Amino acid sequence: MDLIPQLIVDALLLGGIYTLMVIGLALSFGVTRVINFAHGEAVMLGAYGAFTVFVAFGVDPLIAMPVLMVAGCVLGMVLFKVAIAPVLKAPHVNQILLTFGIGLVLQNLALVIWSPDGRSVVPSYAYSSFEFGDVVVSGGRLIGFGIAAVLVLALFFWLKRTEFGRATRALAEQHDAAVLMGINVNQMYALAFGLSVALGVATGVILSFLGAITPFMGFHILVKGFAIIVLGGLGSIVGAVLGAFLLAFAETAVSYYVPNGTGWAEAVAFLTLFLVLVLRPRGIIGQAVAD
Amino acid sequence: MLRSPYFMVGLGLLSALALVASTFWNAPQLNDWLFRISTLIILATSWNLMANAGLVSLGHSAFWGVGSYTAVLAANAFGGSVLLTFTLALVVGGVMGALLALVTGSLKGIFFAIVTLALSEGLRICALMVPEVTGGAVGLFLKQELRPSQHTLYLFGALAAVGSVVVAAVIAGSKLQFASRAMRDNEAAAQMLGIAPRRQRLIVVAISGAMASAAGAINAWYGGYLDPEVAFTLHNTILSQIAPILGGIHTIAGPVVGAVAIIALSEGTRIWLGTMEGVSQLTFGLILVVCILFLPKGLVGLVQGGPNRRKPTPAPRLPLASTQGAKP
Amino acid sequence: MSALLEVSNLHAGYGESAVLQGLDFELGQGEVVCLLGANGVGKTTTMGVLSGLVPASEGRVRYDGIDLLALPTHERVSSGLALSPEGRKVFPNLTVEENLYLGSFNRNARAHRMRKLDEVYALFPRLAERRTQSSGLMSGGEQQMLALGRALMSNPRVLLLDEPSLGLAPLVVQSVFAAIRAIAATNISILLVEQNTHAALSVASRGYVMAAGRIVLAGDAATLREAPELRDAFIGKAQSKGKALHA
Repeated sequence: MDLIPQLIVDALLLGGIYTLMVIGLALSFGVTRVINFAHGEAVMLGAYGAFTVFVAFGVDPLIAMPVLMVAGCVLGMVLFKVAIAPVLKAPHVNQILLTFGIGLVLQNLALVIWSPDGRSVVPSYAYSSFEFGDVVVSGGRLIGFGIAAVLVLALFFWLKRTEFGRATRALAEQHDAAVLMGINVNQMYALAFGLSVALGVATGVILSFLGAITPFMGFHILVKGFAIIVLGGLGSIVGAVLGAFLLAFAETAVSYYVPNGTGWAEAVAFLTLFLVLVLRPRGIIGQAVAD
Repeated sequence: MLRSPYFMVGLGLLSALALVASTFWNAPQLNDWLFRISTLIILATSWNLMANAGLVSLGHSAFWGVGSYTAVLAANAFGGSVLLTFTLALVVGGVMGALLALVTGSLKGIFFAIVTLALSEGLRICALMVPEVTGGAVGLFLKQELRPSQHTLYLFGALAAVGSVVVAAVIAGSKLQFASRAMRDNEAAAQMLGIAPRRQRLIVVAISGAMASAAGAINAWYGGYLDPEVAFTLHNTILSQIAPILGGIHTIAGPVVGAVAIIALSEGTRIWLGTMEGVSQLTFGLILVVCILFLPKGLVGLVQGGPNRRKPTPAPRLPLASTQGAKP
Repeated sequence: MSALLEVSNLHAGYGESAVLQGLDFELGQGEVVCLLGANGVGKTTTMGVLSGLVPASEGRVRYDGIDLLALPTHERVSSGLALSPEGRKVFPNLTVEENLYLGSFNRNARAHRMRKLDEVYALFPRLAERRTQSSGLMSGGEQQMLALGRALMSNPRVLLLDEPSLGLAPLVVQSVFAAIRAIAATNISILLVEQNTHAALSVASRGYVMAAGRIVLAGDAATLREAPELRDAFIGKAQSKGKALHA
């Protein structure tokens, strides 16, 4: 049987979800220049949020999603003002360790609250699937892709067409000039950070019905996110989208064609990270990573 | 304090006391604590060396894990002794560090952190995927008949810990420290001062890698069992950074003080709160966050007179987009 | 008539090095005043302090009866103070029109956005032609026009212009200064920092000469043009610069 059409469909669906997964990370870094090592934990908390609401009230994750995203945004803004704003001018060592520490706290808080057991949310569409000729499409993944596409397009629209979106792009490009425009930098930083967390939470809600939810899921997501961002070129949101699909294709191809591929697919992200940094540290859409 | 003779004499006395105590009062529990403190001192000192040069490692478990596998595989394959495998782990860790420095070239702090994070995770997956060598998820036992007594290993660990601190002290008094400091503050300026960042960086990362790897090797002898999760656990990465941060980053005493405090703390919470999953890591995370926000110079800084003595060097904003409208 | 902008005993610097060391000058309503001086005497720092990018360590700035230094950076623009910075600092990946829109980001200016946009396009037809182009792809002169236009978009009462002639060909400098003259005719007060003394004194009615972080000479344009001290201020630049850096 010809695997190519199935591979393309699977990779596209995965790529859409990956895009949503990293776009928040790219946004907050592009604006604040602080890499959020706790971004994976935002995804994890989103997944647990969906799980809790589903178990406690029987509410479908997709219905709970807007509320969870707003909660995530508020939480992100508060976190920024309380913990991240004080280290904006501190050495990078402090910034890295701080967000790493926040991630560690959230991860283990989740471990204490929800135990290490893998959880899952199973709405009716989670395991549905349908066929197009030879190609089998998972309903859950298709819905996840659809939501991701809507959110990513909404973010692009916001950045392109709105007053605050334009200010966000300006701030990412030229900090001092943005200040001269009368943009309240700390407020925009907090907003970008809040939005980034909200997008992470949305990713978590989607992942909640696609696989197991564990307190440690954020770590793997973070590393994949880095691979994608470095691949696409740091600070470029368009690059992040490109990187997401490239990684998705590479992983899917490995899992299809390499013996024992599903396990090795997990290593693709790391290999990508190394190869990009060695061969083309600027990523696909060239932005400076090195000096 | 860090270069003061008091600290060195204090350290010497403390280690002598510990050696005597363990020899004459051979309590397994005490030995276990002292062993864990020793390996953590090595790991933390190693992490601090990189941090001194502005390199944040989020993957010290990579070195630790590679050192562990080196020890177990070498011992099982040709019956290498503790000393032999320890030396081998030093070499392997050093080479690995040198390679890492070469690969990461001139990448800035953030990217170095990302690469190290990915390195440990990537190695864990690799270890899992080649069961022919590593035993895969099932794991690997170090041949029981080769293993010396726990007490011997403890002595070995303590000596290695003292050795690592001595190495750090020697570096602190050398040109390398000056170069590291300059690189941390401003790599471009360091270059102008005639410091070759890449070469110095290679040396620092190689030494640091060798240390962490050696610590992993001793620990593998002590534990006698390895699997990818044990070898490359994120736990070691966290410990490696939290001890210097709590003790006092960029000092020699910091990692030592921090290591003692961390082991005391984790034993304390274990005894008082029992082993509840996540609690100790949660505490570590909180310590990390609180220290960075409120105690950036750690416990050592507290003793020296307040956390605000050293003026923080502001991080330069990364130039991402060209600002002058240059043609791309 | 009391001055619109009144700077007294201003001190500022970066870390250990003091750049401004007791600066005094004023700018009246509708006036064009230039600050002259060699490289490194603190002209750009002065602009930075006024616009809020650089904190002042001492001194007072009264602007329209209020204490300007107490105003947060982002509120200075809406109070009517706009800077066109040294090196232009346009947003390179944003289009010309997006750059101009950002100029009127603050709430007071947003209401006048379309009117100001028409004014700017009338003043600089070149910008209208290139409105959808990425500003980073434009020539230096066009970027300077954009920086001026962007500052005008905020509907300012006081325009701070930092080295508008920097790096531009003589012909382009002429057209930029023609635009500045046109802006001045609309009763906007302009504080102009320039190394191009000749061009600056052709639009300004008064001027100040700075050396080592303070004013060493003040006078109207005609007097300054003839003043031998002005030449000395430039010739003595290496000395004064060294002093400023090592103070």
